[in-house]
Amino acid sequence: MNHKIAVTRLHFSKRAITFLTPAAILLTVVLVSVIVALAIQRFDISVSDPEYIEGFKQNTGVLYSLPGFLGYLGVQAVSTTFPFAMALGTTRRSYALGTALYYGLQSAYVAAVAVVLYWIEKLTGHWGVGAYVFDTNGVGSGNELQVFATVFAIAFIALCVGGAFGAVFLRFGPKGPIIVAIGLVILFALLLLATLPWLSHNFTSITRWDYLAVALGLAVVAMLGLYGALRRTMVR
Amino acid sequence: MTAQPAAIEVKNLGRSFGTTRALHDVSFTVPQGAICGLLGSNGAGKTTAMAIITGQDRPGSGEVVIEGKTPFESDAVSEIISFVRDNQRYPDDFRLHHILRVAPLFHRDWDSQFAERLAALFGLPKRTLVKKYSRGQLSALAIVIGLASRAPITVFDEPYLGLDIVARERFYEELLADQAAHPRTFLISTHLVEEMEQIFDRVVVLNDGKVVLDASAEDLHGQATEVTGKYAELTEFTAQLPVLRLRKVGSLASAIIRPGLTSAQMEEAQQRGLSTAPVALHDLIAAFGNTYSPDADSEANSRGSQE
Repeated sequence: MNHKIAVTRLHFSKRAITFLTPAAILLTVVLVSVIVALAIQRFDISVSDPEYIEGFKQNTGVLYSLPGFLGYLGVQAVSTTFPFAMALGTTRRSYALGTALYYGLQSAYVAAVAVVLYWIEKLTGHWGVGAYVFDTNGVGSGNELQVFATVFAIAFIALCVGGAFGAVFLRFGPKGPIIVAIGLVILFALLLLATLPWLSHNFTSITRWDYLAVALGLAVVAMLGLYGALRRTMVR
Repeated sequence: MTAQPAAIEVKNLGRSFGTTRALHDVSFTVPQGAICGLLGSNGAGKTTAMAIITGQDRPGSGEVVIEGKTPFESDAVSEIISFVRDNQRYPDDFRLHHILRVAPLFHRDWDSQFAERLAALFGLPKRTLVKKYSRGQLSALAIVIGLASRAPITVFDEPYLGLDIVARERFYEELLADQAAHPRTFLISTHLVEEMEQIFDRVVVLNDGKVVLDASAEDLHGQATEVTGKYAELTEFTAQLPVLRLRKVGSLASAIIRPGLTSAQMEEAQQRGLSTAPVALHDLIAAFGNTYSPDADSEANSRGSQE
């Protein structure tokens, strides 16, 4: 079998963490949102009140619930499988490409789960209690393509950045990720400083798709960083 | 030179880590279908050499050639190699069934039935997380992966660690039987020289990052001679000979001479009242790797030299 595909399947071999946990996280967000909706309704606020709907559509639970776990998944995917994949026989290049494919498929799976939940949300009148989880301004805004693209981008960048940090850990040891993180914070601060005048004039014209394009660009840079770090990593 | 074509060609290999030189101008060849022992004391450079041969590390100088290609980042070479380290790391939440499900993805000739039989033979637990395996169980798992891979070039790094004598005997039997049924090349590092010597077709000994012995099994005898007798007589006899190690206990001493003595030198030794005997491989490796002896005085040790 092609070793890139073999690496991808190696990552998917831990089925509970790759398939069940992301779905469980999204379902937990749904559950919490339903509880919040029920709590709000105890104050005699109608679920059809436009102010209530607009307020709930600001729900960003989905956006914040995923990156932490998926970042961890990205780190451990690299740090624990790389030495084993090398032992079984693969190249660093095949490993990086197989891992990138895994990140893509994993992100597509999480996004697909989000779309299914979005459909359920629409079909059930927002979980029967007026709880807006996926049909929100940040995630979907009434469009499953936007739900898929948004969740995919968040998942993919979290996995890729996590993977890059995992590779840096393998290459440089525990100090590596700390130094890289500090460097990135300084770099982003300088970038923000340099682009602030432009941003302040053009902020309103930046679309969701612009954000997604930047996120995917960052993911690609992270994957290049992952390969660059692994290329010189000693297998231990 | 061997009749078989080379499976592994190591040419003037060098590798340093900072200021530490792990390998220096290492050259040897492993013929196809051979079981080659890579021997040497701790820190001799065995694992570094194996890592470079299997493409897990890149050489500082020189090269390794396998099927006409250098292993580092070679898809073609990675297809035909299995190298499970003595301290191999496995994914944290893997159990035996994960390993047996994933490994065939990487080895086209993987034999699942053989893997299951070996896992049962070595008593590998199915429910225990691999990271909680004992030292012996980890070694047995490495043996299962290496043998069941049927990889044309299979590399074992001290595969016996933590295994009792019964398990080690099982390993040797399975290795030889499977090698006979499915001929391929093995490169195995070990410190259990006496125990494993019989299974090797070829032996390469590293010391301080250099090859000090590279011989086929049939050429091993006569590589060195041990001469024992009275210290004064012995030192006089060995004055012009290449002494690998000299030990003195009281008025008696023994010296390992390499290469072995000629017939004339043997005769002279007997006339001087010295006894001679061929040196076993494990004693020869000990002599390469360690000239220290608690019973030897510093003068005697200072005469020990390494080739």
